[in-house]
Amino acid sequence: MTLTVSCEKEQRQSNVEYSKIIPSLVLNSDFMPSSYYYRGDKDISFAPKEEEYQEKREENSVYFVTEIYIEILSQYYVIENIDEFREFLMLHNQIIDVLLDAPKWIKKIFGESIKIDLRVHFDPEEDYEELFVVLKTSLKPEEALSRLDVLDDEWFINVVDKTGGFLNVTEEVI
Amino acid sequence: MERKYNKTPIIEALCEFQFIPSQPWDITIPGRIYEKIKDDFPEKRQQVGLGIQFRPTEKGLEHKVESAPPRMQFFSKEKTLLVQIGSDLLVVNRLKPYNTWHQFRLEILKHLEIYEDIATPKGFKRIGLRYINIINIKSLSVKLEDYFNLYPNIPEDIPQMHTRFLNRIEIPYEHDRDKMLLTLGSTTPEDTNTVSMILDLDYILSKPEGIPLDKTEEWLENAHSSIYEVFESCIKEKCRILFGEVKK
Repeated sequence: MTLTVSCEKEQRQSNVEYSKIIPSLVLNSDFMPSSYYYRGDKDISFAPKEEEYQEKREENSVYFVTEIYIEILSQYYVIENIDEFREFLMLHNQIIDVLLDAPKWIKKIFGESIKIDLRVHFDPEEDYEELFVVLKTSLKPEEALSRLDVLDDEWFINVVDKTGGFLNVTEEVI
Repeated sequence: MERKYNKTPIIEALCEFQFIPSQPWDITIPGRIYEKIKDDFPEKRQQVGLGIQFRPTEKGLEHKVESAPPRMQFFSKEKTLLVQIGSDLLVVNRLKPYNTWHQFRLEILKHLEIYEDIATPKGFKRIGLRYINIINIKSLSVKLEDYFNLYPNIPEDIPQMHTRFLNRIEIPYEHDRDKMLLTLGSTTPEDTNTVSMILDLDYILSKPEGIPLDKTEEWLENAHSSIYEVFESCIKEKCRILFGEVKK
């Protein structure tokens, strides 16, 4: 028998479906979704008891916690390089709150249709990496700059201390 | 003698201890632990925990991710080691690059001793030693059986080509005291020309107070040996080539 698995070319979905995207997360609750399983102590059951379904477990892996946040952030941002971004976020998780907060301010000032990218920039000379929130706008350059100033004044200046200097906002005219 | 790999697929190794407390949680404990480890773990952050909850509904089983009580995270200077302290919880995480079990074990035991001195827990509710491996194969499609001894068995009458998959097995060890949670599944690939898989090996003490506090070292050794055996049993030669096995 030949069993093959093919590449996934589909886009990340707008609705977070954790079981599809990060299957390990779903099953890391000591929960076995099989119709038949061994419970130990010679107790063979055909379905878990209801209370077993309601189990709740905290996720302690930095990798999996980061994956959860990446899925949530993917609803608002286009992540340009998922591997670079994952590694960045695993080390700089203090910016997560700021990234979750940013889209509502950006959309308020630039409009609902604005496209927002996340791009990790590494400067080898300084051995320093930084994350850019890149606003892709079709506004005229002067208008775009003016709105970026408003964004700075209304939002970024209030959260910059939480970023540890690892986050910046820029714009690209499309 | 364990096999060695130049390009280990380990993206994270972690050891988590959930304790049975001897007294109600004292919120000064994380600060007192930080005082002891701050020279090696200078960067501290408070992080909201994430919990995953399952509940039955009319539509079937639903799961949701929700916030859990905050925990303190202490990062090493190089940010390759992380100590997490929550309510009756200690987690030691080793991020990339993973070095050796010998070194990781020393870090686990050192921080466990510090935790026990300060928090004086009554016993273990749960212990987990977990290795998360990401296997990236540069190809548009992959025959799983070429790389793994563990893969979904699809009846011949239905199409053999598939995309996402998940294999999950729970294996009792030590007369049900321990369990190996073995997961092989697909994950989001780094690019469209790659097939990416997670091999997640989580060896847990599943019976509260299944071992006394002073038997941790022995339990960890046994857990690591079991994880190593299962890992090597799950992979085939093509994986070893991919991981750059160091030939003796």
